[in-house]
Amino acid sequence: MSGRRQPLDPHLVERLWRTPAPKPAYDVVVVGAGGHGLSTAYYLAKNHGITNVAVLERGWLGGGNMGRNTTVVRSNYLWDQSAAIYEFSLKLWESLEDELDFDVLLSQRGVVALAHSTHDVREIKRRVSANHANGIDAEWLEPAELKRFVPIINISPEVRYPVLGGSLQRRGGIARHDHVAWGYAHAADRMGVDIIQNCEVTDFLRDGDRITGVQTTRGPIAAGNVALAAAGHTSTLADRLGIRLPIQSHPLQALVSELIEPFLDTVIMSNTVHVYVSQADKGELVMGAGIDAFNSYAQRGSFLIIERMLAAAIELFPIFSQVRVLRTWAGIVDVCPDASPIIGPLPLGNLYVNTGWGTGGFKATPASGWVYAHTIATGQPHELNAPFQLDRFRSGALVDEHGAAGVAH
Amino acid sequence: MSGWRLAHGGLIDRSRPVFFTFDGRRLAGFSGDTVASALLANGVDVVARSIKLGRPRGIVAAGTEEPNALIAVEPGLALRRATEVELVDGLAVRSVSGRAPAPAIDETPSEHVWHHADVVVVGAGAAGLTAAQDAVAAGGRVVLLEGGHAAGPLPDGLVDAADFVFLPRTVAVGRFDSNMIVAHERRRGTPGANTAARDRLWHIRARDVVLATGAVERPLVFADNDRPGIMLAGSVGVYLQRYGVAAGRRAVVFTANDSAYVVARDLQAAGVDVVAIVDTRVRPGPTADAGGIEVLSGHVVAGTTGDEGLASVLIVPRDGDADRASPTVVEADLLAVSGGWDPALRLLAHTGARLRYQPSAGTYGVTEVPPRVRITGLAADVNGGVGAFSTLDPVWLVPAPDGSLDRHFVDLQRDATAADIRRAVDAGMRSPEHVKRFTTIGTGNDQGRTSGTNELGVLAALLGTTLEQLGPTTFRTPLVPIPMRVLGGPYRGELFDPVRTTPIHGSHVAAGALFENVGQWKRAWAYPREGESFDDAVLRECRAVREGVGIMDVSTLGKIDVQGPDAGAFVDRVYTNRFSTLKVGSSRYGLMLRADGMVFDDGTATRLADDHFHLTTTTGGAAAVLDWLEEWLQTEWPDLRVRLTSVTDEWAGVAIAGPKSRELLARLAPNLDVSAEAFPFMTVRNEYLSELPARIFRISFSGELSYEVYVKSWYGRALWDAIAAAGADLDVTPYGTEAMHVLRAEKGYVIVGQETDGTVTAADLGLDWMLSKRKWFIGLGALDRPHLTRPDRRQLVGLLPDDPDLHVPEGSALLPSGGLGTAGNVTSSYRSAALGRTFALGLLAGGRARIGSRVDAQVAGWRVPLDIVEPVLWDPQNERRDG
Amino acid sequence: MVEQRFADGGAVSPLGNRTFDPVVVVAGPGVEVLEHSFTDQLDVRLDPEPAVLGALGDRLRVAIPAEPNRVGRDGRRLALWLAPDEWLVLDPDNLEDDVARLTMEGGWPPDVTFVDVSAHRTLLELRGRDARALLARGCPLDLDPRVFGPDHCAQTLLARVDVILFRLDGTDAFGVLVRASFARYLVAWLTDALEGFYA
Repeated sequence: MSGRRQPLDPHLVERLWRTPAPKPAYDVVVVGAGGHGLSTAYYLAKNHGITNVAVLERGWLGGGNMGRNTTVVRSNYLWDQSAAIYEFSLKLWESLEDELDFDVLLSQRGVVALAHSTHDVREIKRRVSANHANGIDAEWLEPAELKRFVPIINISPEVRYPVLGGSLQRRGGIARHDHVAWGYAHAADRMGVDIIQNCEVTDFLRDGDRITGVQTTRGPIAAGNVALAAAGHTSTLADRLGIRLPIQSHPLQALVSELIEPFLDTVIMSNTVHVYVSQADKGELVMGAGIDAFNSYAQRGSFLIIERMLAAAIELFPIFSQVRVLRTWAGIVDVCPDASPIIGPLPLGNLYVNTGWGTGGFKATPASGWVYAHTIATGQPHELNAPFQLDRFRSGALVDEHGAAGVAH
Repeated sequence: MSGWRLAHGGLIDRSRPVFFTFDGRRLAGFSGDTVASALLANGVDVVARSIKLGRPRGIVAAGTEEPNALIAVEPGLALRRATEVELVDGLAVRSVSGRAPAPAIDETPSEHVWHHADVVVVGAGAAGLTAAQDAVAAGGRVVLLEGGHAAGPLPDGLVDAADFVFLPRTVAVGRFDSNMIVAHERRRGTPGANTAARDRLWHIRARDVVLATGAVERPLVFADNDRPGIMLAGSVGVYLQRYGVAAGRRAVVFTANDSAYVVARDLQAAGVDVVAIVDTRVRPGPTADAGGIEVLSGHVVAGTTGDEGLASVLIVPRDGDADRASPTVVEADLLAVSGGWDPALRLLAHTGARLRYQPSAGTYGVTEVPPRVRITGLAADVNGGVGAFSTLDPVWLVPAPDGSLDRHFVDLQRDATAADIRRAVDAGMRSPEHVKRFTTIGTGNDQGRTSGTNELGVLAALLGTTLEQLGPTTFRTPLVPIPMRVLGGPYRGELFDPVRTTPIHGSHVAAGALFENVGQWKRAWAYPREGESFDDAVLRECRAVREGVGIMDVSTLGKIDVQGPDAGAFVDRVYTNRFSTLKVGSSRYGLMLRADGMVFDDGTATRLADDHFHLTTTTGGAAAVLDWLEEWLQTEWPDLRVRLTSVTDEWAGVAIAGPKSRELLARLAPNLDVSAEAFPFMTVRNEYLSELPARIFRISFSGELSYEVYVKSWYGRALWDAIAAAGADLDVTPYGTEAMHVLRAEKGYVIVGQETDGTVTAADLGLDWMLSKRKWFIGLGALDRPHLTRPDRRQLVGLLPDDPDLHVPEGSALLPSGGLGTAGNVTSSYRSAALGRTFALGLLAGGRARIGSRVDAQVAGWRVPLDIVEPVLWDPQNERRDG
Repeated sequence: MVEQRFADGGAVSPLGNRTFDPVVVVAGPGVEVLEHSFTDQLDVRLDPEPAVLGALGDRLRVAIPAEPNRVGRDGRRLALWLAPDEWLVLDPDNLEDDVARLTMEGGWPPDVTFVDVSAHRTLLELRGRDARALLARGCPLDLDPRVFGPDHCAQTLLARVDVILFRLDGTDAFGVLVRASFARYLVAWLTDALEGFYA
């Protein structure tokens, strides 16, 4: 193939990142080296020329939700505001391998959302139509069309919740989560960003109403701006400043199977029976469940949820019956009352927050970093994250995406 | 062809030969063999090709840690390990090279079982049996789990012990909070199993858990350490003792601890030529009894040769570079290795117990166990570095003569080598989690049992750090792979989720109804007659209600009994409109909001007595509404003297709707004065109806003259049949939810969940008249937020396409005059018999002010213009309803 | 409650039975499931003042347990503790006279309420040596008689259905109260569970 350079296979990269010691001060300190923290650092450097940046990570980079999600990429959200930021994100995904010169294994294999009731049909068709109105690709498939697209799916009307159709976003798909984290880390590191792992932020340094840095397990670090990107733990960090964020943290479980010869080349989600599934390039099925209802910061959920998810999966895909589950795990999702994120300044000087992505965090990684970097660099929200400010809970301008998320909150 | 069956010995039954096929080859073994032991006995060296490099691989281990010998069992092609599949006559298996073929569908359900015990012992080896005996002796309920098949008969004290359950072929897959053990009992496909037997998933709540889970031996990491014939020493011993199989004829033992010496002696005693014991230690431990076999202490195996199997091993002194050029070459077809042992403690890990490197034991272990957990036997000895396990001198990486690392296999199943770890380190990775993800070590279906610790050892060696600095990567449930159908359990097909049916369900079935799922309910959707389309049936049903009389099963509506001195005050707080002034015997339509001011549910409240209300909710909202009301009552208003009781299933209900409904009701309830004056709209009467005691509400969701009759649910069927019989000459017509939706939409009545989606206020629906200005209600405080009072909010309007036959799909976006984005959406859209045309309802930005103008809907990529009209298209003066 | 029920012969239980007599709905070698149709049930709510509980028990002719998840018993009449302020009184024979007397005589504190829920749930009996093991296929509770004794009751899940569970009498028989709309599903589940039970 001509024209396009082959992106770097991470296994062939000589050095992905340095292991720097923290400097006493940075222009920007990003708290959390997950996908959003890393992409924020990257776009601060790339788009705004701000390279004196540290990304502080209490564990290992990409080790939180970034390393635990089910890697689905799509932009078929319901409301205009959400559609705009997720579609911008999907466009960034589509050029991300060139942008980072790094192989993130993006596979635009299509994402299907199934309808199991007349209510589902109406809501999913609503989303398809809204997607069209926002210039986003979307199709409605009748059961027979679905069966042609996904031959292993069970469309029998005899099951408890028959498949009545579904939406398809062909540009949706999956990417390799680790490669995305490593790609952003590598690119940011090359531009001079310090990624400092095993460095936990324990408190903030402040001067009156202004944040001046952070206290860490490796000493104080001064910062022109501090940008939180700690997902489910953002609310506990903000608590230290007396800021109570409207965030609830829940376990969200996922699993992989053993490796099987490929038989599923698209992503299938069912909101009604709480399962979503894809088959990764190595051959394992990757599945996600509905969230555990209780609040928790422990990265484990109830086994009951796993059992129910698999009962649902077998109803949809009888061929899974003998496939064996290899590993289950949980991430902690941070959910706002309207199931949309908060990206913007907090009511203290030089402090910013990016949280509340719920189940949408992975697919938003590029756009989230882009607009968060813009907000930090300019002090003003980008037009894409302007609707996602904290004050919407006061004004009532909510962006309610409960119905459009992959799982019901 | 190196393995062979000893003339005697082992726990197999030599009187019962068993025939099976492996990749089509017909082979023989004995009852008591596993596929793996039989393959070894038949001299099969190569059992698979490796997943990436295609290298020949043989059997390495005897248990769940086996990385290479994956097989697919015919005919369903279930993926298993050869070390776990017991031999039965006619068994047919094929080798699998890392990735399994898609297995066949197995529709046999599995069983879920809950069990409770004082003590659960995991592992029925010697220590497990002892622990079980002790627990039984102490009294109480005891469960003993054994992942494999029984090693022999149970000891006397256990065979007939009361309150003792022994579960062979049952593997613990996880330990969860409060000592809940989840275990998979294999019953399908086990020898002698009834074909109807279902696998079981046990959920055992244990007061105490005893882990007699043993330990897993570690391989050593040296060049070409993956050849068939290179096996774990302990497993070589297992094949010898348990199956009477010698894994080779000429063996070398390579060890870093004392435990392999006994294997060497046993091999020698069985007639295997054990050439040497290569011991990494200069000074072997006190339990290292070589029994006359030559010991090369302070030496290592630096490489091997061979084609398909092992041909020779290259032995060099451990320290002393000069000698590397000329290793001692020893011909051998078996190399038994022991790099040390790891205690099998994964059951501790899910609930957060962290394993740490214990230098004295040379492994990752625990110094403290969680409460109500005990470790015993080999697991405890290895964890604590007791006896032979104190003698380890770990060697994590044996350098190759040429300095290469790319044939130093760390994870055989993933084909991952020390060179892969080196690449990760060079790339800047320091965390074992990164290295695991980069190399994929430990992610195979053997769950990294033989590779996890070695990965960390190699990593530490390459980083020049110690293992104390490197935590193990997190262990994940399940401990061994488990089929999805076993986790799904019996919940398949119609059992997948409860099906709720009304007492009248049988009548709908008999009438040929189509059903729709509404939550867990099955509701009659429409009643198409022979040769009639769904759409025509709906039109006919609608016409019957508008012109004659129809009946509908409304039993699914949620019903809440509210009683107590403060019932009026309570109902006032939960609905937006006022109820405390409602007269006894009257009903009122009510709206509930969430705390954020958005519409939550609707229904009617009827005052049965001063201190007694009967509330109805939407079908789908019943449980959520009761939860919501209880939450407010219990957490915010404990001072209110009110009791809430669900009576949803107590009452069956039938709506009788249409201009002829009064006549029909009069026939059924001759004692009831049904005149408009005596029984006005929104009132309730208690009366016998066809001899059934009934509550009759004059209420309407169709916009017609209408009644809802409720009886105790066990009379539901009788009520329906009585109404149908009494109205036969009036052509009384059953109508389903679809006709109901059309009728209410013609009338502009909203459905919560269809016209609303959690973002819609009462004012948006034109229901601001229902917001009391003289009292507080849930959600009131949110209503004056700036965004909720904007004039361009999406508001309910009626929508008419120019073409009276064009049906605009529900969900269609309403478009702004230009640019991207949406201005609203079509919430409901139907063909109307009464209006003689199609019509729709929708939510449109600033919609009320736009009535009389036009808006475009997006239909299949086209802009379809619609007239914006009032949402009430039928009987706006309510003359039919109230007459 | 009872008298009217059969005057017209129109009553049908959630499992399709038309008689007071217990009817076997599922059975296996060691277990039988029966429906006791039309069992009178009264939901009683009050603040648990000992004196009021005692008076109520006297007039209902069954002890009203103050202790959580316990059953008061007098012959076939039972009082099940459901919540700190809620009990369910049931009687397969007849509660009506007592209920009428209760409400007519009055004299209760104002927040004492009675709701007739006789048709809201139906009563299943599981009896036989395997009854407990069958319940263990879908109920997470420990039903060992040493733990769940003759005077115990619980609100729990059986399969995926909310039920009220108790020991029907001093024997191994269990009572399962299930909401009418879920009854057929629960029996389908029990039938399926029994199919695998003796394999």
